[in-house]
Amino acid sequence: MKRGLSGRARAIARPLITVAVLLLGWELWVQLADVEVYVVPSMTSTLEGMVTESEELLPAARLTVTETLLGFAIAAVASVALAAAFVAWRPLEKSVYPLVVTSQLIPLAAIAPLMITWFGFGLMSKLIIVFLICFFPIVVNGVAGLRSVETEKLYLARSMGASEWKVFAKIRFPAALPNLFAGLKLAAAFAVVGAVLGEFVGAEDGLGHIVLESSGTFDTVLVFAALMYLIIFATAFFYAVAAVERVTIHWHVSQRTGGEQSTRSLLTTAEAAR
Amino acid sequence: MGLREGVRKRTAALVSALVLVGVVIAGCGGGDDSDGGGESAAESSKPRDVTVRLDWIVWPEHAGYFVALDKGWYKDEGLNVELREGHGSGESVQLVAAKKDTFGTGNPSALVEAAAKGAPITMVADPFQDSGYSAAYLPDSGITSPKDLEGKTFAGVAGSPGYTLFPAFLESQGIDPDSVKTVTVQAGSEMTGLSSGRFDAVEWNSFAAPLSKAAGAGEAEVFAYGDYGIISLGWGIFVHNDTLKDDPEMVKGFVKASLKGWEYALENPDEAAKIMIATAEKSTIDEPTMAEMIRGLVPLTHTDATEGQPLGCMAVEDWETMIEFEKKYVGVKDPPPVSEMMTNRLIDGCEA
Repeated sequence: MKRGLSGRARAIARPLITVAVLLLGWELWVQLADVEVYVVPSMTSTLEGMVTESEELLPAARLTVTETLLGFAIAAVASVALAAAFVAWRPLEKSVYPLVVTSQLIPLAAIAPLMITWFGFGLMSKLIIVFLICFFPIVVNGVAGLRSVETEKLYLARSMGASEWKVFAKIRFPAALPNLFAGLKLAAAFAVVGAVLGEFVGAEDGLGHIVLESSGTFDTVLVFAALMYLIIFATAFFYAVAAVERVTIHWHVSQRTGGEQSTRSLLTTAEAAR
Repeated sequence: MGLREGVRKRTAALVSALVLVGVVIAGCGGGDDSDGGGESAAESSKPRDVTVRLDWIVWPEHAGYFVALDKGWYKDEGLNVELREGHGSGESVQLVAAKKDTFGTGNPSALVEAAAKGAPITMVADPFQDSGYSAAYLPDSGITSPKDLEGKTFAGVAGSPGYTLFPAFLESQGIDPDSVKTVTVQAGSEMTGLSSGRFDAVEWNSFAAPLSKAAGAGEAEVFAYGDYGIISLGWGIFVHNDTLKDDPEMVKGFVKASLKGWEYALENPDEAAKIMIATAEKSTIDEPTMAEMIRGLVPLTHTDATEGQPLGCMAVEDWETMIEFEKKYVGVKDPPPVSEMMTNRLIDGCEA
């Protein structure tokens, strides 16, 4: 038990030490190399800016967070549904999947300005950009996950009279969760980038808007302060999705260190099919 | 994991972190005085290689430099000039401040903003005392006077004077800036936003009206800030203070050739447009439109304060007015005195 606790403490301490070293390196570099503030502001002045400019930064952060979370949520629901539809009905996958892939080959940054023209500079255009960035990793991983069920399990379930819906809900979907979460975590990391991209091409407010405006006038402290807000939010969001994953699929091999899983998994399969 | 192994691992992590910090410091400290303008002027027989960071892709406000290059006037001054496209005045200011380019062109407002943060650069000539920054609107929008902008949406590019000076323009007309919704957009998407009806007005340059027609947006009407007493100085030439100090003759030669190029370009817009498009090889603007826009630059060369002086001369009072706007609307704090940010001494015949 003692060992376990110190292990957890170490797990938290390690990345913190890395961050502390990087922050210290940043400060030392700016101080020792006498870097001008219009090139890079010091770590301390950035932290100061995060506090003194919070009146401007916090409402902007609220907007960016809303865009990110809402766009991500829509993408998550729609992508899982699409992945399920692909797996349920092959002809759909055959005809639409290539389109899904092609959609990712279009550089979003190139068409983002058009998005503003099509959907305005409000929330809608940001949601669509976040959605477009998020849905691909979720769909691809979702399809792979839904396909990854061992056929024995499916045979077993069907032989015990499970309906298609039941097979999906009790076997396919749970089996797909590890892959799905891999996709969701990728999407969570990209979602913030999408929201900022949307704000870059046209916005009234938001952290991306502040970055653009303040870099246009050499207010690098505000640029870095806004970036820090973005980094903190993006990191927190990613780890929040990871935490949901840990709670949801605590039984999966990726989440465990022990080895008592396989029998239990088979048992639940049989149980679920009943 | 044994104790010794743990200690060893921790030591290794610490050492690698320190090495990383060291590398970063060394790498950045060394970059300060790399290539760029600072070479000595000793070899005067061989043409000096200098680079010019333009403030934008090939655009009418660069015509004079292309003409000077094409006519060999830089060669006459012993200079081998390379014109480089840029992306905003802010970027060219930064590149010159970092000595990545010898000269830069751009808005004096960007220079003031950077100088207030310590960037060591000076403007040595400015062919345009007005940049023609305006709020553009479509003729059928129902907008006829600035007052009509109340309750409307205006879009501009972050950091551009056309955007930052918009509230100044509104206030000069007794309009509360908060009554107009302002949005930042990517440079280049203003006109599509205007013609698609997303925005009621956008930042624009008075001389660029032909471009909106060429883009299918119709001939946009403009409220030129300059007509409402708002000073927005146009694109001048700046250098690093070290270059100016170490090599004033070279800088003077560059300024002389550039202004000669500008005089020629403004007198012969058709030929200048032809030279620009031929030299640049690629340009999104066709020759007649470019020529028309260069013609549109002619009224922007002087303010009342510089009237009658040679092209390129700047007026301290105009700069001071601009700096007041910068303080009020951009939030610039403690800029250096005007005399440290601009000088007319390399141009013969300027008053101050």
